[in-house]
Order: sequence, then structure tokens, then C-alpha cells
Amino acid sequence: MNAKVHSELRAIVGDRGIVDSPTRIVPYESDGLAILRQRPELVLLPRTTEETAACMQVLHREGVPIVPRGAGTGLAGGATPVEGGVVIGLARMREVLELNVEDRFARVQAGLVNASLTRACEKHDLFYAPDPSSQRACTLGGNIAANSGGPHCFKYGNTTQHVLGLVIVTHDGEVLELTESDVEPLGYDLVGLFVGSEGTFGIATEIKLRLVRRPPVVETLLAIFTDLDSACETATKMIARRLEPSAIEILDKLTIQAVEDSVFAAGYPREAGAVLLTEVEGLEEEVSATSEDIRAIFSECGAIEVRTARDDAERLSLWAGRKGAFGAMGRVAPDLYVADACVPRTKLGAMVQQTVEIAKELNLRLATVFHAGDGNLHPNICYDRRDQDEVRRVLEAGRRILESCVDAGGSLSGEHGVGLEKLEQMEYQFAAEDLATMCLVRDVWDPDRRLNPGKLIPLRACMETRAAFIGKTPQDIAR
Amino acid sequence: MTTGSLTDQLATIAGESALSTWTEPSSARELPLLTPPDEESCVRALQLATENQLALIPIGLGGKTSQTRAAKRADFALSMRGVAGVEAYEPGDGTVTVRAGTTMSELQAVVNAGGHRLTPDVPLPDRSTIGGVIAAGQSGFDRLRFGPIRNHVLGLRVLLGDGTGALTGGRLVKNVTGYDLQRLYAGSRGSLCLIVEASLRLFPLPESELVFTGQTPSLELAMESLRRAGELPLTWDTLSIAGQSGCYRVLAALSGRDAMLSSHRSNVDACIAELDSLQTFEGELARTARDSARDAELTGGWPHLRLLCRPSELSRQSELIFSALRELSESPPRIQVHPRIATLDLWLSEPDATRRSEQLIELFEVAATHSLHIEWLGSQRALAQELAASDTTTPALRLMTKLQSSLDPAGVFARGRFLGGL
Repeated sequence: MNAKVHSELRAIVGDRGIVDSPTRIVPYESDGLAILRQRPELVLLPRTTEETAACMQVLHREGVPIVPRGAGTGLAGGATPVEGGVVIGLARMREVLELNVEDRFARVQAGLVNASLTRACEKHDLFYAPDPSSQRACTLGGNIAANSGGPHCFKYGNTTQHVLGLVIVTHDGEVLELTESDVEPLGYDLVGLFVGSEGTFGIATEIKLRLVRRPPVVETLLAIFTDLDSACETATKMIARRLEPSAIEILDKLTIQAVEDSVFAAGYPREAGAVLLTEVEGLEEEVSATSEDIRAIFSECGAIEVRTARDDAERLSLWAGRKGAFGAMGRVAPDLYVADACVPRTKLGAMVQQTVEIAKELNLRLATVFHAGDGNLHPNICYDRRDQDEVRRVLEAGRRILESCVDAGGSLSGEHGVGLEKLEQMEYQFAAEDLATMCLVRDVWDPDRRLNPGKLIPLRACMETRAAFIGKTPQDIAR
Repeated sequence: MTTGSLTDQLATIAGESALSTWTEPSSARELPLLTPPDEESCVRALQLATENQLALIPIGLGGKTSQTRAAKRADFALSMRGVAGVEAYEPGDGTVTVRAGTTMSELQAVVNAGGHRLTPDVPLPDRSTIGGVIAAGQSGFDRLRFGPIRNHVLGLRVLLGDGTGALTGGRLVKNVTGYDLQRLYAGSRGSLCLIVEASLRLFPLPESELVFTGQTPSLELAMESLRRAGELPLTWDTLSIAGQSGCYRVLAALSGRDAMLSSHRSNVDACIAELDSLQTFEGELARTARDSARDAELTGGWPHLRLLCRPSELSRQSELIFSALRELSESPPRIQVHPRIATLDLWLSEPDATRRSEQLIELFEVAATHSLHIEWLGSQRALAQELAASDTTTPALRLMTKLQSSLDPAGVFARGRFLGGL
């Protein structure tokens, strides 16, 4: 990038909005998937929609690839600048623009941290429901890009169900206001289409989000099992019997031990083979009736003990342990590969068992913690990136786990997205025509494919299948 | 291609028995209607259209086509009613995959037998197909509890204009793999693709149901009663008001655990105590009362107009519409209000279609003056042309037009029936 363009961008975002020194730029080489890294040319940190649009106009004119970034907590390499270019970060867009208690929504800048929104509205007995484990660090803009989930999305749904409107800056710096109606989209549901597009359609700079009333009563139960299979069987039975808690989470033995050895220690019993953490919300009578049904299933499936959080402090501690599990794994090994896949909830036990066998076969240490209620598995492989052979085995295990889930009727991602990590497996889950259709839609939003290039859809699939669509050879359309 | 040769060609796809005629409500033009018995015949019909530069209107049973504008060009209609049946129902997983032509009542019967509840709970479910409901983005009488339909479509299998099949999403309750194209297709009113199969999330059948009804001559009292009910810490299925000046019927529907409903019944009674003719229904009677109120929404057809806003703005914005209408007509409109969702549906009482169109155009002008968001749901051609001319070209509409051109470059799916000429 020449000096003139550099100065032009600096003039837009100011000295504090530009990161170009070799040391300060290092954190922007990857997101949470540290195994894959690439240095960007420059990082821009605009403060407003207008600044973002002005930056995008310059970068469009210059034909520079753009990688949007929230807090960099993603786990699929979605914010890794794989083709270099400029990273546009949301870190300086952190304002709550409007809090409407009566109509239960908030308008925020996209760089606001997820947990900050709930803090901003909790005095009104409202909260923002999607609660990814990284909610103390991840931004709402990043949540939009990944369509993030979290333990309580079992009841409340992923991010997409909570987005009422967006302000988006498109590839050429145009501002798209999609905020006219909270009830129904005007025309096509562009907001719903944008959520989960992993930064390939544009950058959301302002977000209108639905807030939820705090339930009057919350009961948190911790069931302790001697083995992981019984915990999985319990979760499957809870779904099959049509019970509706707000979260069903499972942690295996290695995860429990890591959590209990860390600052997130929650009082999980170290000797347990697995624990199942569940929460029931609502009015007193419904919480009581549902808890009773759940306890019966715990007993039927061989829980050796069931604990109930006695107060808010204990409840928060149990959840801190669950949400801190990924961080706690740092005690087991220097690096952690967090897989993310979904399976039908009738196949939970079988698929968890299969992941255990794959890890065993490849001589890897596996810790499992997952959203059992949604069928969203997170097999975590502990490794050391300095050991090249171990890295190779980790990647092979990741691939085999994902493909096993797809074979069982599942999918590659429940909440982390495809990013860079699962790019090649997209052709395993989807047929050429499915990917071609996605490419057609992507090209409408970003005809030059400069937004987060090399993510979500394999370029090869795009070229080959798009050619089939329009009767040209891949060479004709290759750029 | 002449009409005669078109019908001959269509007959070769699925036989004479699959051919009939259908009248497009908005233009009153009669079109050949093909009802293919299977997906393969749908593909062949689309290929025929592509090869001969024909435009088709996709329908289910055709009930919702009166909500769309007249197509700029249409050569035939294609009904998905023949492509019906449940492909997979997994009671243990709470998901169902169903072919587009299945009626909502057929689907409801299957999942109810497995202990599940189907959302959306649409009016006249025996006259609506799941494909049509998704294509129209039609949410149900239970929207307050479950949200809009687009939240529960897990995946779709569609045919593009040239007959290419494409899948989006899957059969899982949680899945973020690839773009959420099902969100683009849901509510696109058949202007992008033909929906052939849908996977949906299901919810447990409730242990108990309670429906509270009452009447009042005062719309303000009806709104206030439901505002109080809405403030209770209950998850409501429906809070609605229906009627006409001098008589408004209020309905509040709850479902869930038996113990919870028994315990809070008196709290609800207190909220609506000022209404007349109060009644409370339980169990089967509750379902009947709810279904009857739901189906009454469509007595006399689809509403002419819908006001959408924030809940706190509903009373003020409704009054602006009513006040304008009082200037235009002596006969008050029939209305249906969902105050917590913040929608007002309105049926004009004017029997003369031309005069009614004039009233609607005036109401649109009032809405524009006061920055109200209203949707026109009727189909009369003169009004459609007038409103199409007033569609503002925004960056969003330009993007939608590009999406349509990209997914259906040949214009196989008849255009002009949706917002902005889409």
C-alpha cells in the first residue's frame, strides 16, 4: 500500500485508529485458531459508521482485501487475514446508542462487548440472551458475523433470532440501513441473510437487538455421573421427553479437572466421569414441575448425586466453570483445538463416543465440553504447536470428527462458523450446486470477493460450479 | 409459444390430469395451472420455462396470492400441492422434514401424534401448504410465543429457475454452516426459487391450555386490559383484539405446565376484569376457542392493510389511521390487533372496489406524512400500479433486485408481484 493511501486512511481514523507497527500488529495475525496465522498489511480501527464507510471507499478504490474483526475470539480462523490486506477492527465502536426498556430493544455499536449489553440493561430486569463462552470479550459485531450461540441458545435461539435491524457498510463503502421494521422485513430478509455471513457480505457497524425479560425464578442443577455415556443418555432423554430447560451442558472428566485446577473452579467433583449442568427458568410452579421431571431422568440414568445451586453466587460459579472451561484447558497443554459440530440429538452418545475413539487412535488428549441440548459438540484437543507431528494429528482428528458428524446427519458448525478451518469440508457437507448458489449470493454482496477472502466457501467450488451455471469454463471466470 | 402449444407441452410433463386453470387474483387473468405429482416433473416444468423464456407463478393452494401484486408477465402457474408428504419426522429430535405441498393441517396431525406442536399456527390450516406459508413468510396466531416463522425453518431444498436443485441449512436445531439462504427464501413470495422441501423445528405439546375471552365497546379498554396481561411474568401464546367500532373481542391464550396455569389464572382474570362477557376455556374447549378466533382473522379474506410499529407506538399510530379513515368513510373498518407484536390489520368496509382503492391510496399518503410503516395486502391492479410507482429505490431494494437477477437470471419466476417490482 503506498504512502499516499496510508495517509488518506490515517486522516480518516486518526493516529489512534491505525495499527501498523510490526509489534502491535502481531495480535491481528490470527483469531482464537492460533494454528493458522498471516500478518495483515495494516489494521484500521474506525469509531463510527461514517469512518468505516470512508475507509471502505478508499480500500475499494485501491482493490485491497478487507478482513472484518471483532475481538478476535473466534475459533475457526474467520478473522485471520489469510490473503493479507487490511483488517478493520470494531474495538473503538463500543457505545450503547439507545436502550428502549418499554419496547425491549437496544441499538448498539458493533464493537460493544456482548456482556456489556446485559450489564447495561440488567437494572431494568432485561438481558441479551445469546451468551457465548467468550461473552466477556467477544463483540456483538463478531456475534453477528458468526451467528454465535451459547449455552442458553437452547431456549432462546442463536444470535439471528435476536437481531431486529442492522446498519451495514458494503464492499464499496455504501451504507445500507436495514432498520425500518422490527416486525417483518421490507422485501427480502437481508438482515437474516447477513447474520452468519462471516464478514463476506460487509461490515455491520450498528445493531438493533431484542432484549428479554429476566425470568422470575431460575434453578440450576448439577448432575454428577460416573461416565460420559450416562450424561449423554440423560440429555437425549430430556429432549425425547419434550422437557424444556433453558440450557443442557455436559463436561467430561478431563475438563472438570482442568476447571477445578484453574481460577474458574466451580466445585465440580474431581472424581466424576462427567457432569451435566442444566438450568430451568420461568414461574415458580413451572420450574418446580420441570425440575421434578428432570430429576427423575437423572435418577433413571444413574446420576450419583444431584446438586442444586443454593443462591445466585453458587449459580454464577457453576456457570463460570462451564464458560471458563476453554481457558482452563491451558493448564493441560499449551494449545487447544476446539472443534465445533452439530448432530441430531438422538445421536449424541454415539457421536461423543466416536470422537473419543478418533482421539485415542491418533494418540491425542481429548476433553469434551458441549451444548448437549442443541446437539452441538465441542471436542477439545490439547496439543503443543511446537510438535509438528502432533499438529498434523490434531488437524486429521478435526477433519475426521467433522466428517463423522456430517455422516451422521449433522453439520460442520453449530456456532463458531466455517471460517478458514472448515473451508475444505464444505464440499463434504454440501453438493456443488448448493455451494454454487451460495457463491451467487456472495458475488451480489461483494463482486470482487475482497471481503474476508478465502473464508466460508472454497474458491475452487465457486469457480467450478459457477461456471456450470453460466456455461463458462473455470478459466473464463478465474481472476 | 401459443397458449395451445404451452398446454400441450405442460401436458407432456405430467399428463392431462395435472393440468387445469387458475385465475391470478390481482389481474383476473386465467392461466394454465400445472400440478406436478413429483419433484422431477417440477424440474421439467422449470426447464421448459427456461428454454422458452416463459414466466410462471409458483403457488401452493393459491390462497395467499391475493396478497401479491399482478405479475408483469405470467404464462402459467405451478402448484406444489402434488409434491406432498412427510419425508422424515424425528420425535426424539424435535424436527420434521416435509415436502412443500403438504397442508398445515396434514403436518399438524403427524407431529401432534408424536407429542409435538407445529408453529406457525396459521388460519385455515387445511387451506395452506407449508411451502406457501414459508414462501409468504406467514407467521401464526402463536407468534407472540414462538416468534416469526423464519426462526424455525432449519433448512430448505429449493429448485432455482433453471431446475437446479440446491440445499440450504439442514435438519438440525442448531447449525451455522454456510449462508442462511433459508432466511432469504422465506418470505420471498416465490420470486427467487421454488421451495420443494422444508425442515422445521418443533415444540412440545403443552400440558395444559387456557384461553380467556371478553368483549368491550372500547378499543382503549381492550388495549389496556391486554397491556396489563402482557406485563404479567407469563409467556403468552396470543394476545389479540378483533372487531369493529362498538364491539371488540379480546382473546388471551396461555399454555404450559398445569400447575403454572392453575396458579396464575386469577392474575389474568384481574387484568381483564373490566371487560364484558368474560369466559375462560380449558383443554379441548380452549383449543377450539383459539382456533375459531384464529380462523376468524380471515373471514372476508386477507386484510387490506397492515400497520407495523413498536408496541409503545401502536395506540398513537392506530389512531392516526382511524382518524384519517373517519374523514374518508362513515363505515368503521374491521380490525385485528396483536398489541405486543405491534401489528394492526385492517379491513375497509367500503364495498366498492374503486372507492376502496382510493381510500387505501389516501391512507398511504397519511402514512408517508407521519412516517408510519404500513403494508398493503390486497391485490387490486390499479392500486398495485399506483403503489409500485411509489416504491422508493433504496440501496436495500437495489441489492434485492441484484439478488433476484443473480438467482433467477432468466426471469422464470414471474416478476412484479412483490415490493419494488421484485
